[in-house]
Amino acid sequence: MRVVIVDLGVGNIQSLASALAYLGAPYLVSDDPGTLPTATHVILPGVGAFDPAMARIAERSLAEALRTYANESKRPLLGVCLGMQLLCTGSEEGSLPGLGLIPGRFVRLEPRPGSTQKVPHVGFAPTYGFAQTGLFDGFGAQAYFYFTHSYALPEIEVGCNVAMCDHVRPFVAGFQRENIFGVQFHPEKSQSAGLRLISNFLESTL
Amino acid sequence: MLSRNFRLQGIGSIDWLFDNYDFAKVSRGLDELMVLDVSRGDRNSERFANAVQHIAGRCFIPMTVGGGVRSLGIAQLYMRSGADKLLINSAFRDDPALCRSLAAQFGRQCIVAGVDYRRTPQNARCVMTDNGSKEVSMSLSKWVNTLQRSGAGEILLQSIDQDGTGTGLDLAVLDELHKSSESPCILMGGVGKASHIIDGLLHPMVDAVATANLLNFIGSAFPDVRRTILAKGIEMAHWVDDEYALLRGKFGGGAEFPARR
Repeated sequence: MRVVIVDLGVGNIQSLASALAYLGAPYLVSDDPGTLPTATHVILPGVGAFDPAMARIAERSLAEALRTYANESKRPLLGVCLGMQLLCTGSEEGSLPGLGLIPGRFVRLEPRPGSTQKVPHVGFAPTYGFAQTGLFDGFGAQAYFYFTHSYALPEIEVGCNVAMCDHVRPFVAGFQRENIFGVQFHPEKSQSAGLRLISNFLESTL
Repeated sequence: MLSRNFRLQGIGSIDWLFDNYDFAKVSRGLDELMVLDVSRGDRNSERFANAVQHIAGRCFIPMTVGGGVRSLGIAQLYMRSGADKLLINSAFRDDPALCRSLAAQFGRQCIVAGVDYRRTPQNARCVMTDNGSKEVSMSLSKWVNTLQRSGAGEILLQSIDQDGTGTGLDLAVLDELHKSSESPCILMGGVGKASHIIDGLLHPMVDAVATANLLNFIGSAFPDVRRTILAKGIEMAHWVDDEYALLRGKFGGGAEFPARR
């Protein structure tokens, strides 16, 4: 096993690295596209704004390498928080296109008048609706994870295993489509539930 | 390591905490952790940052770090060491421009404004800064508005009088705030048992309750409190017992950190 955490310099990847260390998964932190061909798993994390992250991907020539890794060699790729946004077509948050590995555009969460639900959405929230297999194996009907975000994906294409969450509106909390995985929440901040999710990701091989 | 914010009581080093209280295990009953450098006088920020990193490597929940956040350098040091959020107190008074720029750089949701207050002889609530030594001349409600304009994402309200007493939270403080506060509000000071936390969480204006009461760190206190709170039907994350044990070292690559008892 050789996990590559792609470090775009947006946000702190230490907790994710600590989670992999806790699980005993050998990993490497890098922004070098040359590390992807020999990776068994790739995690694309991120916290912050969409455009600077996509700009960095372009700067480091990572887009093609990520597409080849995911679409040709079909190995497991997990986008976490901003990383999940980067996998998609684009986001209202930025003007640059995303990697386009998953069709879908992120929208801004707008607080509803009269509602006590605030934006950004910060805190633990329950997710539901997923099939208890693959990424969501062993969770029971509902699983709590830690969220901190202002943008979200309203829906995803048919054929994915999808976990939904409600805050201001229903949105995709996490998904798996074959070898491509995305989570809006932070598994590295979600107690053992998050570690279990990362473990499920690590166990997926094709 | 110190217990209680205003009536400080030394208890031991970071290692002592992890060894004697199995702190990693204690953290499994919690939703979030706050780690504060409450040094009076000279701070050793590097040493504190190392302690933060040590904790961050073992506790997989959001961490708020604070104490002496009066410069971009300290803020960046804490964020690099594993902080998800920063707790800022006196800088909101002395350098609100810094607070606004930290909110712009890290995101508002990363900024927690600490509001320490105490009752005056006239029974009003007076906000204090600088470890409870300087009075803020504004009303509590106006001060909270000022904080929000200066970039605060969350407000931590701490009762200096209740701190360390274990006799319950000062819920009446919320009557002084506007009902439509846009920031999540964390209440702290006086928690001694589960019913105090429950009373806090049941209040419509309270989003979270914090405690530094040492008794709460012993044994299975937090998991037990959590079970009691959930049994009352209060909405909170459910954690599965023993899941950590099943996951540790699962992929056999060897843990990066040495095993702890």
